[in-house]
Amino acid sequence: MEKKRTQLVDHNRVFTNVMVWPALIILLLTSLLPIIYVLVTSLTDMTLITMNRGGTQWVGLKNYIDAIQDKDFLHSIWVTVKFTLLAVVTETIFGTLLALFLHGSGRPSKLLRTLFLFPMLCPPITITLIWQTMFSNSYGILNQILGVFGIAPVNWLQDINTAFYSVLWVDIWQYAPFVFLLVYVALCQMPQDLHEAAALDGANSFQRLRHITLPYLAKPMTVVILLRLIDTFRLFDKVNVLTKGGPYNSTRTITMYIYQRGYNDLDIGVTSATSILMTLLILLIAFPYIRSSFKQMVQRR
Amino acid sequence: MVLKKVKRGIVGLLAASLMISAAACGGGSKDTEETTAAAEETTAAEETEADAGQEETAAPAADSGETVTISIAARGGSHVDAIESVKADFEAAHNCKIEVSGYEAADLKKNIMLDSTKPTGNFDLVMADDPWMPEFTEAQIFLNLTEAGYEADSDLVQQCLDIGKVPYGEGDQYALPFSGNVMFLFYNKDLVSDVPTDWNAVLAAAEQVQADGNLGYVIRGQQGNPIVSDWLPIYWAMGGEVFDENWEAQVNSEKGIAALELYIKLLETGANYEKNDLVAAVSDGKAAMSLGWPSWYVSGSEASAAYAVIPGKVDADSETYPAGMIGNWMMGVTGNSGNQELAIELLNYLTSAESQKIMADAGGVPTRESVLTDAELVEKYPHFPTLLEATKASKVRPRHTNWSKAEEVLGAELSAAVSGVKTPEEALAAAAEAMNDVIK
Amino acid sequence: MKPKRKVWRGIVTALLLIWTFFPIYWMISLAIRGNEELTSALSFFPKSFTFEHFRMLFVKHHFEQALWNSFIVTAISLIIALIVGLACSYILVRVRFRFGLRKVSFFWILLVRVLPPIAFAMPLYFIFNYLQLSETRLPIIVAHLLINLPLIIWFTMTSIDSLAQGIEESAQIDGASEWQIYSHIILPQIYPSIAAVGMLSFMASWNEYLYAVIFIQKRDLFTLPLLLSTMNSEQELTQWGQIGAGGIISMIPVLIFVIFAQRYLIAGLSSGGVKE
Repeated sequence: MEKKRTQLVDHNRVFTNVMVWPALIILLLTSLLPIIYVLVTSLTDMTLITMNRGGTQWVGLKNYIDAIQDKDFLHSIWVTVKFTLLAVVTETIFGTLLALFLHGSGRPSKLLRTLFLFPMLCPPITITLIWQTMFSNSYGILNQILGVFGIAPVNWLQDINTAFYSVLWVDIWQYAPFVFLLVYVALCQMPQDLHEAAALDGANSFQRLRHITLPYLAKPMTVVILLRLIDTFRLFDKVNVLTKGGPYNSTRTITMYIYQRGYNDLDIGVTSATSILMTLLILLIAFPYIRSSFKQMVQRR
Repeated sequence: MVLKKVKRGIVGLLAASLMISAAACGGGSKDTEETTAAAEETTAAEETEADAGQEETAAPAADSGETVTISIAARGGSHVDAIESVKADFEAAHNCKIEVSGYEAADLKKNIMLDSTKPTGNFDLVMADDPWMPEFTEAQIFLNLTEAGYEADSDLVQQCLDIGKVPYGEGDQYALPFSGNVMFLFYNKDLVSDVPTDWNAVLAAAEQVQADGNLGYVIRGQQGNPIVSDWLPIYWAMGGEVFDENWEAQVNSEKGIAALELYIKLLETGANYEKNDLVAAVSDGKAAMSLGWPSWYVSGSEASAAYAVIPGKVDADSETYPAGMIGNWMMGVTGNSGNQELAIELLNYLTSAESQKIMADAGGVPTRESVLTDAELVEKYPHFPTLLEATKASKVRPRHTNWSKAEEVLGAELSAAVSGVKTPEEALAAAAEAMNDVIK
Repeated sequence: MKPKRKVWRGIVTALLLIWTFFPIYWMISLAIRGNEELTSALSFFPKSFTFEHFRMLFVKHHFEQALWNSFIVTAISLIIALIVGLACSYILVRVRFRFGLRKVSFFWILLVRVLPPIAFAMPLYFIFNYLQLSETRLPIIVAHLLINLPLIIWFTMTSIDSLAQGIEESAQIDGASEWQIYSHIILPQIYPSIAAVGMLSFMASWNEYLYAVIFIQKRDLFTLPLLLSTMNSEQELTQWGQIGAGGIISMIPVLIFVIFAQRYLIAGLSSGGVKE
C-alpha cells in the first residue's frame, strides 16, 4: 500500500466512501435542483399568475438590471451592510470579552455559563415580539424606566434616528451569546501547557492574553465571524416584526426587500434574481474569511 | 483481524443510518400510502358520482365510506376560533371532518398561492384579505361561484358582496364575505363629547384635547400597510383617488398634499403608535382619537372607547365622500379543490345568518344586515349598527393585481413624510412615480 | 487588592445578568398577568397572577401536538445530520482525494449555507409536490438537514483539523481499525465542539419558521413557531399573555437539551487528556 507523507493513517476505500458520501449526497440532492431552478427562473418573468395560466417568458437579464437600477434595492444593500458590520463587530467583541471574563474567573461557573446563553435560546419570533412591547412608545417598559430618571419617552421603533439601532440592539442581545459560546468552547480546548510555560517565564496575565490566547483564538473566531456574517446578512424576522423596514426604509434589509417585492407575491423571477445578487454580495464580503478558512482546510495539505 | 473490525464498524454504521432513515421515512411513507389510498378513493368516489348521475340511489355509497375532510386555510386568531365554534353541526350533518389551518396573514397568502399550483389542492376553502382578490382571481385560485349556481343573497351587505365579484361590483361571484372588517373612527368618550363629522372638526377636537394635556389624535404610522390604511381615509374624504382610470397614480395631487399635511398636523396633536399601544392609549383615556379595525375593541366593550363612522368630508359644508376603508376577509372555494360541492355547501353554511350569530361570540364580525341589526346581538355588541353604517359608507382599495406593491412604495414615502425626512410634496411625488413603476 | 477585584467581578456579573435577563423576565411577567392588565400600562411588577394563558395554549391551540411535532422533526433531522455530517467531515479532513473532492465539497457546503432560504423554499416545495410528499414530514426534515448539515460539517472540520495526528497513527500501529480510530479517538476529542454545534443545530431546527410555514399544510403537523406566529396579526390585538406563555414553554426543551449537551462539554474536557 502506498503511503503518503501527509496521510499518517491508512484509509480503507470502502470505509471512506461509506463515511463521506451520505452527507454529500443529501446535500447535492437537496441543493442542486433548487440552485438550477433559481438560476433558470431568474431569467424569466415567472409569477404565480403565469404559473397557473401559462405564458412565462424569457426576459434575459431584465430582473437583474431592474434590481441594480432600483434605488430601493441599493439602499437595502447599504442598510444590510451597515447592519451586518455593526452587529458582527459588536457581537464579536462583546461575546469574546464575556468568554474571557468567565473563563478567566478561576473556577468557571457552570450556572453562569448556561445563564448567559439564554438570549440565544429564546424563540426568535416570540422574543422579538416581547422586545416590541418593551420598546413601545406609550406603555413600553423602557420608556417607563427612562421616565423614572426624568428622560422623555423615545419612540424607539418609529423614529428614523433610533429604529435602526433598536433593531441592532435586539440582534446584539440575542447573538452575542452565540459568539460567547463558540469562543468559550475554543478557550476550553486550548492547551493549558502553553499558559503554564509562559507563567513560569514570568509573563503577566495581560501578556499571556495578548501573545497566547488571542493568537490561539484567531482561527476559531474566523469561523464564528463568518457564521455571524452569513446569518446577519439575511436578517429578516426581527425587521419584519419590529419595523417592517421603516421608518422610510431605514431598516429595510435585502431579505426584507426581496420578501416585499418578490416572495410575498410569488414573483419568482424577481425573487430568484435578487437572491442570486444577494448571494454574490455576501460571498464577496465574506471573501477574506472564506479564503482564510479555505486555506486552513484545503491548501495546507 | 483489522479488516474484520473495519467491516463490523461499517456494518454498524450502515445499520444505524439505515435505521434512522427508515425511522425518518417511516412516518413519511405511511402518510404517503394514506394519501395515495385517499386519492384512489376520491377517484372511486368520483366514478360512483358519475354513475350516480343516472342512478341517484348510488350516491350515499360515497357517504357511507371514509369521511371526507374539508380543509380550510384561514388567518390565525379569531377567524379560526369563529370557524371552530360552528363547525361541529356541519360535520355531523354531512359526515365529514373540517380541518382549519390558521396562518399569519402574509404566510396565508403565500400558502394559498402555492397550493393553487397543484392539480388537486390541499385546501378546499380559503380566506382572502380583500385587496388580494384581483391577484387571486387573476391567478384562477377561486372557483366561479355564479357558474356553480350561487344566487346573490341580498341579506349580505352589498358593499361586502361586491368585493367578491370579478370585475369588482359587477361580474360573477368568486368569494363571499366572511368577516365584515371596516375601519372606524375610534374615540374616547370621556375626552370627546361631540363626535366630529368632518376632518377639520377632528383636528379642532384633537387640538382641544392636546391643550387640556392629553394626546389628541394618534396615528398608526408604521411603514407599509398600517400607515397607508391610516392615511387613505383622509385622502378619500377630500375626494382624492389613488389612481385615475388609466392607472396613473394621483396621490401627488393637491388633495393628496392637503391630506398629508392634515395628517401631519393631526400627528402633532398626538403621537405615532403601534397598534397595541394605540388601542391601550385610546381605551385608557390617554389619547382621544384614532382610526382602527373593529376586532381591536370587541373584547373591551365596557371601556370608555367608542366607535363612529369615519368622517367623509373636510369641512362641515363640503361634499361627503365614502372614506371608511373596507377590509373584509373573503372566503371562496378553490378551483383545484377535490370536494367542491361540499365546500360550497360549507361556505354557504359559514356565511349563513345562524352561523354568523354564533361566530359573533367568538370574535367574528358579521357581514349580514339581519345579523348586524339583530336586537339580541346589538345589545351585546352595541357597535354593530355603526359597523353596518360604516360598511355602507365604505370604500375599497384600488382593484389591481399589483396593489400590494403599490401600497408598499406608498407606505415608504408616507413614512418619509411623517418622519420629517421629506416634505409632503416631495414624498408624494416620489410615491406617485414609484407607484406608476410597480403597477405596470 | 483581591477583595476589591472580587467586588468588581460581582458588579460586572450582575450588570451582565440584568442585560441578559431583563427581556426574559418581561416575557415571564407578561405570561402570568391577567388579561385586564395586559391591555393598558404595564407596571414593572405584575399586579395579578394567573396560569390561564398556559391553560389556553393547551385547551385552545393544542400546544402539546405542536411540541410533539417540533420534537420529532428536530430530533430526526439532528440525529441524521450529526451521524452523516461528522463522518463526512472526518473523511474530508483526513483523507487525501485525487480529484479535489475536498475543495469542491468545501465550496459547495459553503454555498448551500450562504444561499438565502427564501430562494430555496419555493423550488423545494415544487419538488416535494411533484414527488407527492408534500403532506408528510419528509420535506421539513429535509429542509432542516439542508440548514444544519453545512454548519455541522464545516464547524467540526475545523475542530478535527486542529487535532494532533500522532495518536491516530500510533493507534493504527497498535492495530486499531479505522472505525475505532474515528469513534474512540477522534470523536471524544471533539466532544465540546459536537456539543456546541449540536446545540446550535437543535436551536436552528426548533425555531425554524421560513421553511416550516410553506412546507407544513396540515394542522396536525404544525410546529411550535408556526403556532406561535398566529398569535399576532395587524388587525387583531396581540395576545401577549399567550405569546409569553408559548415562548416560555417552547424554551424548556431547548434548555433541557443545552443542559444535556453541557455534560458533554465537560466530558470532552476531562477526557481530552490526549494533549501532547
